[in-house]
Amino acid sequence: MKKIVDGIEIEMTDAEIASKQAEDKQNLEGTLVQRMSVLRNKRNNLLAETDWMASSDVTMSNDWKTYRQALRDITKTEPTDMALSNITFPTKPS
Amino acid sequence: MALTKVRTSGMADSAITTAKIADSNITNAKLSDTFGMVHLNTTTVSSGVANVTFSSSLITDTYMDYKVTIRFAAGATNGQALLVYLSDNNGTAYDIYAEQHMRYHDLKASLASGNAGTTGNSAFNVQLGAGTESTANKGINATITFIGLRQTTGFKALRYDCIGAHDNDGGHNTGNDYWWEGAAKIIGSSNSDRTAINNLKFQFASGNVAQGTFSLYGIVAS
Repeated sequence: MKKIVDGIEIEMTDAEIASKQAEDKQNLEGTLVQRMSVLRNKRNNLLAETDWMASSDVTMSNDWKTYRQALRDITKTEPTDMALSNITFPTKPS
Repeated sequence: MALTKVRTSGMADSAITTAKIADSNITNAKLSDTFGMVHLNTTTVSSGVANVTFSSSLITDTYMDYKVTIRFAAGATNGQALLVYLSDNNGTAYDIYAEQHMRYHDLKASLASGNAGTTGNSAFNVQLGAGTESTANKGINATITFIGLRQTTGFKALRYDCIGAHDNDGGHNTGNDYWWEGAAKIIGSSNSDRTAINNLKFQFASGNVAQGTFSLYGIVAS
């Protein structure tokens, strides 16, 4: 594996190759802070879609209450990657 | 007779009105490095490399601020963000924290705009755009201004604008092209670290840099 420093192409050391591979892996997975941020943003958007149901002149069904509670609880699970591949979002009631 | 020396001191601007010197006759003329930007290096990538680095040989106390232009940078892997890593020990470690924010603007399809990027406040890199297309002659174009890289008493900063084809681009009429803009406060390897930066490393979030032209300029302060 090569890199270019100041315009000159040079072979990378084993340590530099390992560092690049570690950076790629970290970028793919993101830090836990970043992954949790992605999860919260997605959760908050889904909650906002049904916020109107919580207004005082609307009666929310138990199915929707369960759905919204499941969204609130979803941050109890730590995502393992930026794609949230280990997170299962609740299904909206029909 | 060849013109070998021109004395300009004391000459009024209006004194020269029609003079013209053929480009081929100007061999040693050079603007004084007292203003503007001074070109330090251009690196063109034509076959895959892990990164493009500007080292401490170029980033010195000669200039406090720097500018980088990037033309058609594309990764070997489709859909990867271009990142810049900073180092204060010439690349021994790239462990400089940055606070950053990026916004996207859809240039054509919807004119939509919004926040983008997820690198957050604790990243060791600054994200320049997102989902860059790997296809030849697409990728991303960028200008990045680095402010105060060599200072040792306060934080450093950078501001960037990038224009490129997103990974779902299909051409002028069918795809989405984006302008990304953003800024970062460069903290240091710790909250109290104010060591001068002397190394910049550009690479994609995953995989090699397949193509691109990276130019570094020093900004003259006075």
